Amino acid sequence: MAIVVLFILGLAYSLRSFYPIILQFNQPLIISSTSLLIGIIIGVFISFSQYDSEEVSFLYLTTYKVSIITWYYILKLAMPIILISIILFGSLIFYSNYPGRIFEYQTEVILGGFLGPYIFLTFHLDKKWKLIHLAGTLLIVITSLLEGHLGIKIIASFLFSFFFYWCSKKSWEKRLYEINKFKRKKRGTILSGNPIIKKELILLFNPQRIVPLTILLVVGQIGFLLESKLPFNVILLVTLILVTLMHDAWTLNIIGLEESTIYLYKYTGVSSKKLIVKKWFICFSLVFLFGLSIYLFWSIYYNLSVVDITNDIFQLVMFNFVISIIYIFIGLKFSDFNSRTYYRINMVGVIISGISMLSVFGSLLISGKLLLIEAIILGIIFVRVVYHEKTVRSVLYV
Amino acid sequence: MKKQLGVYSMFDSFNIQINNLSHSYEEKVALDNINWTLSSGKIYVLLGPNGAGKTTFLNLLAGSIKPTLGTITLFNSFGKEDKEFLNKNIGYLTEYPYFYPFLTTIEMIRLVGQLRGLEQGFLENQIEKWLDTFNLMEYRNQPMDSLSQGTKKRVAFIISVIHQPKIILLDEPTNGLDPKQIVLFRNVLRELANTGCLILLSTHIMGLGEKLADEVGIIYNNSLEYIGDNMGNLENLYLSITT
Repeated sequence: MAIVVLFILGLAYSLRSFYPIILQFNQPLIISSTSLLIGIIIGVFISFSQYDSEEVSFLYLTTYKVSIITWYYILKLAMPIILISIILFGSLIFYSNYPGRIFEYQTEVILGGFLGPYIFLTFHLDKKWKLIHLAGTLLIVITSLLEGHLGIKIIASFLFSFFFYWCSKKSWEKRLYEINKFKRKKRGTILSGNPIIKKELILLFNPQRIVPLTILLVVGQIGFLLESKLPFNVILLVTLILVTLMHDAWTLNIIGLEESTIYLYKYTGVSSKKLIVKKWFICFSLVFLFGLSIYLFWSIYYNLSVVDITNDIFQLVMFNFVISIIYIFIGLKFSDFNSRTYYRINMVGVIISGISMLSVFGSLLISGKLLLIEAIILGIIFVRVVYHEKTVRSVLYV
Repeated sequence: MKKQLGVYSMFDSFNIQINNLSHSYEEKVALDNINWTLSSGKIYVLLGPNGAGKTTFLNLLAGSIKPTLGTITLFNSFGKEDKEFLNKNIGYLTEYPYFYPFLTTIEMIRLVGQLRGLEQGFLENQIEKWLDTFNLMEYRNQPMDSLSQGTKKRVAFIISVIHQPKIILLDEPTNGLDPKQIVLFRNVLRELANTGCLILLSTHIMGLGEKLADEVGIIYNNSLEYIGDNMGNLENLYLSITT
């Protein structure tokens, strides 16, 4: 659920950056490349989130037909891309009197949607197919430079579909073999001595979580750069939204509620308060680090005064703290054991988190001091809950 | 009361010839120089410690990975690369079967049958009979994620034999089954072997091996250390080879 919400917000965030560019039709080449880039990002995100190695193994051992897996994953990619494109086209058409051009850019977005995952196929192709693959990539990139030649682009798309199908098929043939490979034991790393932190970091940096956040980060920052007249307050607000989204992706679902952690509590007698505080600290620090980096970059770019920067960072810390604590509480109270054998936040939790976020943003708009009061109250409650071992365990053992 | 199996007809006899079969994952040798001839109508039980290479061996036979060295000849005439042939003739129950949690039992089996290209009438007939065989009629319309581990395992078995394969590969098939279900499962396997199927299963349960195996193979240190008829007392045999 969170991933869908994240994606829709991400799309809105991307569009926010995209609209003003579309309005400036005097730089067609940049628009064309940007459309392709946005498509690539959307496509990569979709293909990452759709991939399921167990499902692939199952389909292969059921049918022994690589073509079925190839078509299945093409459909899994094509359907959301086309859906998103329809939404995007519907939105953009109101911003221009040139529907022909919008349609052309839209074609670029769709092509980019396929080109993104296509680029990654090269890692699973042999030399001969890598060359063929390169020809397909060049076909799309070169035609995207031909401004105003919609007909050529449509023909190129048609040709590209053959490249896509055959390279996908060849790539799957190789990947199917790799899926069944043993994963060799790697040498101990610096984190081997602390498997709890290692486990948390691996879960946090799971591609399905990190890719959408990276997309938001990259697209958003490009958008800011392209539109330099944006008031700084908007950048601060967007940074705070990003902080919320990061907690939504990480803290809400990660904070000690996956099955393995439950068993860890049950069978090892490890202190749950210690684990929860550790998990909270990792999420809080990471989000703060990301948020602070973005904020500092833009504050320097906008040449803000030290006093303003200090004030904003204080707000950022308070905001991050409040959100992380609220999400831990929601994560503890509103999680269900779902079919994928993971505890995930349920619908009530999603609604409550939405309401909570609106309230926190509301209080921030009213006064920064209100946020400070909220942080103190929530901090006290957090300490009380966590240090009452029984309370935490009773929630976890439902 | 004896229940009817899915529509299974008698097969002509055939062999699987395994010659100098080896498999490595990068530098790690998983299986080394395996030679074995398996015949139709028999049940073969594969024993070995964890990580010995049992699953790799089954994966090689199923054609999901390729041998580094050596050959596997099925039916004396077909090569391992013939995917259509594998699809038609091999049924493989993996240790951790995959299910779509939102599909019901009958939908899940039907999906696999349709993917395998089975004729609709035949497929529905098979589904009904297999569900009845494994006492799963009451679960037919329940979503997969609501089923117990043992029930899922039975559904997974049906999925692996729904197309009447001649070769049935089973990786730890009785995990999660209760004793009554294990007895039923054993009987079903024996009946399938009697129709001419070749069954190869890996297990850690010596009792299952003793009651079921016509021939036993023990993999230890990535080699097939023992091949022989089931003479009973597998535990002693196993311990003498693996210690």
